[in-house]
Amino acid sequence: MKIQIARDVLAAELAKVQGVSNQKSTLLILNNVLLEARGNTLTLHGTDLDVSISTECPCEVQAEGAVTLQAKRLYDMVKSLRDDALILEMEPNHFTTLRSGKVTSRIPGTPASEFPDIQTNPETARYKLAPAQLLDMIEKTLFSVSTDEGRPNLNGALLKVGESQRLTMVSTDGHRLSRIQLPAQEGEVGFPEQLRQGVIIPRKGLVELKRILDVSNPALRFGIQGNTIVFRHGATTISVRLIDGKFPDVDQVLPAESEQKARARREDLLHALKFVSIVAPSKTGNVRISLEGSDCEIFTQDAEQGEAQEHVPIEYDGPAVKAGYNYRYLLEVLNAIDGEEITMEIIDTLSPTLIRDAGRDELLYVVMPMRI
Amino acid sequence: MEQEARRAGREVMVLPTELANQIAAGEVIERPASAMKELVENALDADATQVFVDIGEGGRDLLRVTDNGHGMTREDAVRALERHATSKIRTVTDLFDIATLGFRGEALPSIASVSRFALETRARGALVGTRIEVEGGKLKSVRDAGVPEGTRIEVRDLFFNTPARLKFMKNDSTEVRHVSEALLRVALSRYDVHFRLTHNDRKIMDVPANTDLGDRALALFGRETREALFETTEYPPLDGIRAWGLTSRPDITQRSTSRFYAYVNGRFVKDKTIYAAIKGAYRGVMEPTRYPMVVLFVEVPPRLVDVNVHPSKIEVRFTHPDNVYRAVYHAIQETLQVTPWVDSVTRTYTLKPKTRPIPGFEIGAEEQRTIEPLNARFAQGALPLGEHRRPAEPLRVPIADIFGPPKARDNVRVTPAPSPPVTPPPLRPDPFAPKAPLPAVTPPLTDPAPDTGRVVEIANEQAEAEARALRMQSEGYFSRLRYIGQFKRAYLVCEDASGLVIVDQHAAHERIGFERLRKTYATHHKEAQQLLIPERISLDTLRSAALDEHLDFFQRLGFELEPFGGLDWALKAVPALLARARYAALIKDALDDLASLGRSDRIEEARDAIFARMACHAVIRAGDALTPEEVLGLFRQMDAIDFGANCPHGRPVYFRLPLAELEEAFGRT
Repeated sequence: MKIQIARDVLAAELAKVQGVSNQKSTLLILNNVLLEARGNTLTLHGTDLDVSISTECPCEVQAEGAVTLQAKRLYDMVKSLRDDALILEMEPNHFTTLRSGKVTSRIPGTPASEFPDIQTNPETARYKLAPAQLLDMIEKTLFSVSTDEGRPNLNGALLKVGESQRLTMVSTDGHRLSRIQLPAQEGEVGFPEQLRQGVIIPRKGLVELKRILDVSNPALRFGIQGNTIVFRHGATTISVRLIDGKFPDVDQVLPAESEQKARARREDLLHALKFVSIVAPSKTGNVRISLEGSDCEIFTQDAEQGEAQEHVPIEYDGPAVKAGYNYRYLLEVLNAIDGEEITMEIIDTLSPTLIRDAGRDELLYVVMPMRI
Repeated sequence: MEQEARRAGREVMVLPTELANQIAAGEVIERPASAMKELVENALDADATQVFVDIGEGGRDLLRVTDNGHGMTREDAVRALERHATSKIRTVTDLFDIATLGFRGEALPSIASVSRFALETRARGALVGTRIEVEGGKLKSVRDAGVPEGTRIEVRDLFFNTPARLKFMKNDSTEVRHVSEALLRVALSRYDVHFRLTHNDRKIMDVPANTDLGDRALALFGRETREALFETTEYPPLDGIRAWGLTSRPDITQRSTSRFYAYVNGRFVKDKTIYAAIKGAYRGVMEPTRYPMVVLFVEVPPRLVDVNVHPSKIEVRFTHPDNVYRAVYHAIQETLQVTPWVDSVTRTYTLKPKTRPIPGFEIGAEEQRTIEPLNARFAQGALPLGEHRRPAEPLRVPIADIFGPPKARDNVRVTPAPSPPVTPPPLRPDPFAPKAPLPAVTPPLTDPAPDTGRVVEIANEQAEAEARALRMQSEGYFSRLRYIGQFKRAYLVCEDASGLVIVDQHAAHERIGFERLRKTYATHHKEAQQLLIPERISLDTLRSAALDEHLDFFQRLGFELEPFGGLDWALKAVPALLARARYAALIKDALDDLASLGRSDRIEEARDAIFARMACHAVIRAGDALTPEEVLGLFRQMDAIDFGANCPHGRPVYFRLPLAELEEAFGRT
């Protein structure tokens, strides 16, 4: 294999792939990126066996062939080159020489045959989906995906198609929940049958998707093949092994919309929470929210760190209520919401509290109070 | 023949006695050490004050136990060799009230059935003795013999007729090790008896009768180990259950429970309740994978313990395991909290004020009053920082008065005599009590240069008297240290009245943080995080029953659990502090503890682990330069907590080098 390629082009593609390659694994080959040169295209593959990314870019192929190289090291080298172009040339023993301007480096490689076979049928990804829509769903739910390995079915977000082709993404860690429901957009005709039941996309797949999605490029198609969900976005393909398990039926635990809606400016609440949290007990993060008339009081107390409170004006005509929360849960919700105003429904200290973006009905957040 | 045998095999028959004995021997007598243990226990049950054990070739050739106990008459001796013949219990009810070591009546016939066996005995006061010989369980001869009072049992060619067992014997040195270990276990528990062990005529152990456990430990383990052992604390009996013994400094650790010498009513046991209580007591001061050394006697009313669980009697069953746990836990834990080893390095000079008051220091109520104003004065006299290194004459003079002239102190070292106790320092210094804020130590090293050993000694005496006085006030040991400087930006080098004290700054601060967090969270943060989606926990029958029984235990800690049908439970809320833990596994582990031990520390352990991690992050580290003011601040905080000498990860916090040792290193003694 011998190719000549623009530095920035290669760096951009390596950036996409090295996220999955750059993991600590006992399988050394997984730290490598597979480079394949055919025709006038360079294809790059990276995988950690759960998430696989393939991408391609144009290049001048002087000799066809393939090799795998340590992804992170190659990426670091290419990034730091001063000249615009470089040449990669593989020797018969798979050592590969990188040449660019006054720079030469020779790095060990392994034969392409050792790289795991990433089998994705390009035909799989045939359902259209707007990148902005997918990104929106991921951004609104990623933070509440559980990291508790004891409950693997919560280690990902549920992607599901509901009535009238409405796409839903839900995540929960048992303490709080995020849900976004978006109507199908123009051109999105039909979805894979599996989405009727819903599939669980693992956190890592969501993270990689979020990194790769480019809203300026509308070409995004996806599909499901066996236990893998495949997205084709321009020249990049990402396939993610789905989590095998049953996502809890969230409709069962969600309370009905209540009349006790308090309306507040998101910025005000954010500030109050951040201020008060400075003295909140560091482990439990307990803060108390009290709603009464047009006043919302956020209060915390810690035997060592003291106490703090801030008042936030609200529109509220329900009964006076108060409940305790882990302030981090509230902060994460408020940070995920884009709108200027939010509504909050505190029913009592035992029932789930609902938080919504006042301007977007599609979004729903649930936070469980703490019992003192 | 063969046919006959086969037919015999099909019929249900009562086993011939010898075969029954051999089967029993298989259970009781695994190796020479177990035979030895049975024989020694018999000797002790016969009130022997001397038990000599001689073995040859690892016990294979010879195993001889000689005692000076009350011996047996001929009739008793012959009967003792019948199976289930015992003088120790008579009825089934006796079985539940066993106060002797042996009781099953299996040992002698079992051993005799697998060896060439000779028993010589003479009952106390009898004119002639008896010699009985048995070979492979068959009685060979019974005759008169002129033998000393007591009993002597000689076992030769052990397992000669059970080749399978013989094959499993290890080499001599292994068997000797087992014998020594088994005898050591007995010798620890009966420090009033003279034990001797020889192997091929070479003496391995010889411990004359001692008057207390500490001396026996010294005789068996040597000085270094003895000095690392501390008496457990008297704790009021629970349900008649009492535990006492010796427990090691937290820095004395091993990888296994091999140095847990636990006895129930004098009988060596390996019991998980007791083991768990020991571990529990050391939790927080020792790494979880390490084990202390403990010699512990648990006295349980015989009716509350079933010793007839296992033929070798190494396991027992308690009626109230939780009370046993508490008795053991408190006995050890209270000692650990007092940290007697803080003074132990200078133990030759300093006597434990609580149990061994200093002679010539008996003070009445009036004199006590003269001390209190002294303390009070120092408590009030909060001198500004920086002035504390001034020689503190006001303290020095009264202390000298209290202790009398130096000469009178000489006997302090050796002859502790009972006397009305001096107001004991509180076991746990009240952290909120006003501290005597300033260290009032006169640097003893700046005293006139000690040119001769005698002068040093006198200087030491004075320094010791002062140091002792300081410790008598119990609080403020650390803040009274004179800070010399920081070494490698990691260790604080200080002196107390008679030694060099080196404090690991990170470990010390970490320990403070840990204790503080533990206290804060114990009282203030009991919130429960409710779960949006209840977690379903499937249990087996035992665990589910245990949960049913101990539901309030979990509720107290912040777990909310509800039956979910069948053996399933729904977890609806968890302690906020543990909001990220693996609850299901934690609950199951705790349930297993509750079922077997009657209590569980799992959840506290999980909490402690979080505190230890939190503590580790918010504190100074090696490499941080500290000003003298910061050092004093650190020491004051150290004085304010129940100070274990180890950091929460189990590493030691400080190290003390007594002047005497330093001088020894320089050849000045």
